[in-house]
Amino acid sequence: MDSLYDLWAKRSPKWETRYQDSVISVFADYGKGTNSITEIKGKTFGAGYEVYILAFFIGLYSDQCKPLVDDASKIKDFGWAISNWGTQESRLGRFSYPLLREYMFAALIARTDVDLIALDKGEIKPARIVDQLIDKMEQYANFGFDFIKEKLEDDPNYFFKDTAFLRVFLSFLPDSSPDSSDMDEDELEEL
Amino acid sequence: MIVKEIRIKNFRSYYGDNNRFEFSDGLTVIIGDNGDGKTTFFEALAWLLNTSVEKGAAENISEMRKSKMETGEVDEVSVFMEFEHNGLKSVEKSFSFERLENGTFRIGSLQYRGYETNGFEREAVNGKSLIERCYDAFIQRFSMFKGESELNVFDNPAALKDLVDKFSDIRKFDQLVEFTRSFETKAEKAYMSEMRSDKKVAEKSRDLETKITRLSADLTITRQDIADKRQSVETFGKRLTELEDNQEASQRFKDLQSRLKTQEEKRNKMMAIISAVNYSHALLDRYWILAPFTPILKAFQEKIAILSREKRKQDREFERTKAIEIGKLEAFKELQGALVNGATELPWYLPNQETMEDMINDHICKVCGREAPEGSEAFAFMVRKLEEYKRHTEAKIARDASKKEIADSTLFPHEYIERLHNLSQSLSGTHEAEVAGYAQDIADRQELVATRKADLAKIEDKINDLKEEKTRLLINVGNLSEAALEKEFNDIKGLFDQKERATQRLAVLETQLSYQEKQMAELKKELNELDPESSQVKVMKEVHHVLEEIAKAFAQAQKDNLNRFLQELEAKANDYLVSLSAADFHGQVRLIHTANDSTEIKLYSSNGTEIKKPSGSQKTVMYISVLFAISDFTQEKRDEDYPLIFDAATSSFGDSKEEDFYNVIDKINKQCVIVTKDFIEKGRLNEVAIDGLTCAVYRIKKAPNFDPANMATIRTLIEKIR
Repeated sequence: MDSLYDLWAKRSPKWETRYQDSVISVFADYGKGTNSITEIKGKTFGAGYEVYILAFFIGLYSDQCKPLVDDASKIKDFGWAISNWGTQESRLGRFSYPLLREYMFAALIARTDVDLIALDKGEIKPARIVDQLIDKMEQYANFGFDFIKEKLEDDPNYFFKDTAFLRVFLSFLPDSSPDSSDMDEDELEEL
Repeated sequence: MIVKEIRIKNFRSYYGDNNRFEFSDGLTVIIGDNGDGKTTFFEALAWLLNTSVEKGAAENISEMRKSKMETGEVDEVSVFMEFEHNGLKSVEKSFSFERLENGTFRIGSLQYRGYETNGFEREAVNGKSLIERCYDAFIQRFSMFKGESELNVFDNPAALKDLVDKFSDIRKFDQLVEFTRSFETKAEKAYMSEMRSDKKVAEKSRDLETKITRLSADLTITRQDIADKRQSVETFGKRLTELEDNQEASQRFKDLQSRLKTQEEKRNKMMAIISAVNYSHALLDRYWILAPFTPILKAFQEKIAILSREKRKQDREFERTKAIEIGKLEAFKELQGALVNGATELPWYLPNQETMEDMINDHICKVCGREAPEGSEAFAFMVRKLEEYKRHTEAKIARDASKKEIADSTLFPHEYIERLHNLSQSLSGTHEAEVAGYAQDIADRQELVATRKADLAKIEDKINDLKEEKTRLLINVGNLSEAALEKEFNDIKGLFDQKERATQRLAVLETQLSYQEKQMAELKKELNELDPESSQVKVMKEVHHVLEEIAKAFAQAQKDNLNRFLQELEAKANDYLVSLSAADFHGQVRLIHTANDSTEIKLYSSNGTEIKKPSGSQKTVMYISVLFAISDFTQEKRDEDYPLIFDAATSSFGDSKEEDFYNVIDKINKQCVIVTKDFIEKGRLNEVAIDGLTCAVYRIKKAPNFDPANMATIRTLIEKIR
């Protein structure tokens, strides 16, 4: 019997096509595979799903969902199952991060209203539960994409500061004080 | 030649045709600040006088004029000069430019127009040849100077030769020297040929002649060697002095370089540490993205724990219900009927099915032995009893089946929750602690980076200080290159050795030369003392002797002439040096004739010490003195004076020196134009200082309200102050 995690990891979540140019391609070499050219082109990330993960966590920590548009023609996925995410380390200086998938899954279980008792009783098919998890995941990421897109629209260079993404996530810490991260940011720019 | 007037039209910042300068016979000072058009004035003049260009250049067109032109409009760039040179003359150089539809400009060909006054008539002449006639490139080279660095006219080794060629009579002597030498050679040839045919001395003279020829070849070689060695000694000596002068600077330079290198290496290490972690990648690779994850992980674990509990609870409940159901089934009791007399019936299973079927078949009750024929009550009783038996058996089977069913039933056929529970277990403990620690990891990292950055900032400061020190050092040592400073000063020893060897070799060669010369003298004497038979030979001998003496005299005179010229130049230069320096220390100019026939200008103190590093202003005054002296020679030689035009030649002067300097120049009775930013202090004209001047003064400045970023808004305005 496949566990829910296994079933979930076989999926490839969907996202709104409009974020391909406005967000994903901005930071990742999406659609071209990870290669050394990425560094030369100055992209922060290799694969598109890395941006997806960031977007997901932004939605997760903000606890904000944003349903995807209904129009199926405006939606696509990476064609790359979650189970493959973070398994490659082809880029210099990068490491794989397989555990992150489990945390993402755990978060979805924690945050999704699914009837697992009914599932174990056999009243519901596991596929339906996984549908619900993926839906939650997509909504979180969708919110995250929107968040990044808005920031980029305000300041196209916002995320090109070395610490920009880190700052976003530190701001979700309960006692985060944005001043402390401000400090070294400006200095970094000079280097 | 006296320049009377210069007009500049549309030449770069000189917009329009209302740009006019008039010059006095003495000094004219043109004052302007940076970017006000000083150098443009100078270059406009240089452009006018440069007869080697054939085409107008677009970069010389006023940007402001260009910006104001309509398509098809035509205007011109021109520079006009009126001057007095054997009568009033003028020359104008110009080219036209037309704005084309596509916004570019068509540049017309270059025109030179010249006029000269002949008596009362003013006639047009070729402007180009007029310039070449009155103010040729050679004169320009010794009379127009851009910046202080161009003042050293003798930096060019050919300069002295040119100067001597133009202004002394030495070159005339060259021909005479050549002449007398050829006479001497011919006479000697004739004399020797006579000697060879003289019977008495023929043999001896031939022998001597051979010896003399050989020796004179040796002498030539020795002299050449000596000249070479002298030059070597001079070169080595010069380089040694240079090196010694800068030894201290060089050591400091190298010290600075090595300190700089150390600091730069430190900086690189620091930067490597700082940039070792890419913060965006670390979010994923180092799981930093999980820093705020603890509450979610907790929520997950709690949810799973609750689910597990709930599932177990429901399961237990279910099992209990099951047990009850089974118990119920097990507790099933058969109600037994009572017989007629109240006695209890036999249980349903007695007798058994087989016995009963047997009795029914045999129509007899085998218990009591009574017959029971078909249709009798007893038979019916037995049949009923059998049916009852069968019903009971079936009911028991059914009951057992449902008991088994209950026992076998489960509430939860799947174990998804257990799997989740396993995941929850695996994410607790170490992993949970890791998640809780990421925020600290990040903070630690940031603190480390902050510390390193503070260190880095300190290192950067040090590096900047060192660089600044290096720059200061380079400025202090003047025109010495970094490469020269970096050279190992072990070179000094090598140079010393080389110089020593050259000097020794020179001494040997000189001894050799004097020996060879003595030998030559003896050979010649011997040849002289031969007493030929023929009187013809004697005459030839005398003729040769006389011509030889004449040739020597001319050769000597040639040398003396050059020395005299330099002495005169030196004397004049020193006169100017004294007056130009006014009350300031000035020293003495010496013109040193070097082995390679060039000249160096050096400054000496009156006690004979060379002033090796004169200050900027001392150098400038020294060079200007020499230039004035040269200008005097041009006057003497050509009966014409030439104006001296300097662009920013006095930038190294202090305030007090300026005023003295300008007033002295004004009284020297030489036309002089100086373009300068002296007298401008913090953008304002120092009017008190200008009031102290007696010469003509122009102020040039940018027209106000210009756009600092747009060249088309810049134009130079000219104001005659005095």
